[in-house]
Amino acid sequence: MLTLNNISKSYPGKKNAVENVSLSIPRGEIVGLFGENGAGKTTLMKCILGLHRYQGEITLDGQPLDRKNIEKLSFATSEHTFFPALTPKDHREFYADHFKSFRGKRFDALMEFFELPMGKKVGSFSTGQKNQFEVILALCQGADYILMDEPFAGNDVFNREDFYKVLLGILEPEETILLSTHLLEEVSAFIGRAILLHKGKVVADKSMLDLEEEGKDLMSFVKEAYRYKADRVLQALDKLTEPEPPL
Amino acid sequence: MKKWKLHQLVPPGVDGEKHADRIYTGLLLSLILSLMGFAFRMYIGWQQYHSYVQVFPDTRMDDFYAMTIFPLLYVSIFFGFVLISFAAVILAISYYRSFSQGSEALYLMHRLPDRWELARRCLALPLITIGLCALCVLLLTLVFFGIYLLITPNEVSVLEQLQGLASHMYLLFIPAIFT
Repeated sequence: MLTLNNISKSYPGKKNAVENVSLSIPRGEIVGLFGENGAGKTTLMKCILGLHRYQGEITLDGQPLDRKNIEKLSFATSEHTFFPALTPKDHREFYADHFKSFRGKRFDALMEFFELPMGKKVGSFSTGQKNQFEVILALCQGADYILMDEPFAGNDVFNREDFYKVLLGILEPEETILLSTHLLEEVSAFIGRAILLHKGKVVADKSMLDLEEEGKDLMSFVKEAYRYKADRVLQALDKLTEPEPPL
Repeated sequence: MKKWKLHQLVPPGVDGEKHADRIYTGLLLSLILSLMGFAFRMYIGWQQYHSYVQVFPDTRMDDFYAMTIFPLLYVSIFFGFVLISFAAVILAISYYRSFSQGSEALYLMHRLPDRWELARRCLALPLITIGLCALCVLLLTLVFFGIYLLITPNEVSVLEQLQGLASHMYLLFIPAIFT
C-alpha cells in the first residue's frame, strides 16, 4: 500500500503546488490521476519518487520511502528518463545491474512487440518510439508501483491503443499503476479509480465501480467535479460573433 | 571490494576511454612542462651564479639573488597541473549536466537503489585526475627541491629554504604574470 499523508509542496514562484494531499493506493489498482495543467499531478508524482522535498509523510507498505525500497517504484514521464546516448541493449544491462527485480524477459518481449531496434541509440528514436521505450523501462524495472506521467504524449491513437492492450495483458495482480493523463476517454475503460486534482488539492476520488453504480461516466464525473459550465463555449461564441457596435 | 570498470565511472554513453586518454595526455604535458621549466631555470640560475661568483668571489652566498628561496626561482612550474585540475572541475559539472541533456535521466539516477551511483559517475574521473595532479606535484616538489638543495651552496640555510618553500609554495602554481 502506498500511503500519502498530508503532502504539501510549494515552489518559490508557486505557493501550494500540492496542498495537504492524503491518499492510499493499494496494490493491484490502476489509478487515473487527472487534473488541468498545473493542477499538481507531476509535482505529486515527483514528491512520491523523492525527486522533490515536501511536507508530510509518504510510506510504502508502512515503511518510509528510502533507498531500501525506492526500487519498488518506477517512473515513466514524457520528459523521458532514459539515456539518449545508450541503446536499448545498454539500458537492459544498466537496469539489470541496478534493479535486482528487473524483468528481462518482459523487456525483450515488449521491445519485440513494439518493433524497437535493440542496437540503435535511443536519442535517435522518434518521439513515439521514445515514449514507448520510456514506458517499457518503467514496466520492466520490476517495480510494484509504476508511476506514469503523460506517458503517451506524442503517440498516435493506434499506438496508444496497442499500449493499453499490452498493459492490461502483462500486468500482474501485485502491480499498481498511477497514471496521469489528459486522455480521459481512452483510459476510462481500464482504470479502476479516478483521482482528480485541482489547484494542488484532491477534489474527487472515486472508484469506477461507484461511478458505474451512479450511472456516470468518467467525463461527466470530471466535469461535475470541476463544475464545468457546459454553456460557457456557447456564451463565448455568442459574444465573439456579436456584430461590432457602430462607432 | 568491487572492481570498477572505466565505463562505470562516467555518465552512461560517455566515452570514458577517450576522456581518460585526454587526461593522461594533459598530465604528461604538464609533467614535461614542469621538468623543462625546472631544468631551464636551474641551468640559467646556475650559469648566473657562477658568472657572478667569478666576478665577485667574496659575495656572501645568502646575499646572492640566485640563492633566493625555491618558489621564487621556479614560479609557475606547476601551472599545467592547476589547469588540468580546473578542467577536472569543469568535467564534473559537465558530467552532472549531461544527465539533463536530451532527457531527464537525472530522475532515474536519483531513484537508483545505489545512492552513490550518481556521485560516482560525476566525480570519480575528475577526482582521480585531481588526485593524480596532487601526487605529481608532491613528487615533483620533493624531487626538484631535493635537487635544488643538493646543488645549492652549503652556506645557504636549509631551514630557511624549507620555510620559504612553505610560505611561498603558491608561487609554483600561478602564472608568472601574477607574481
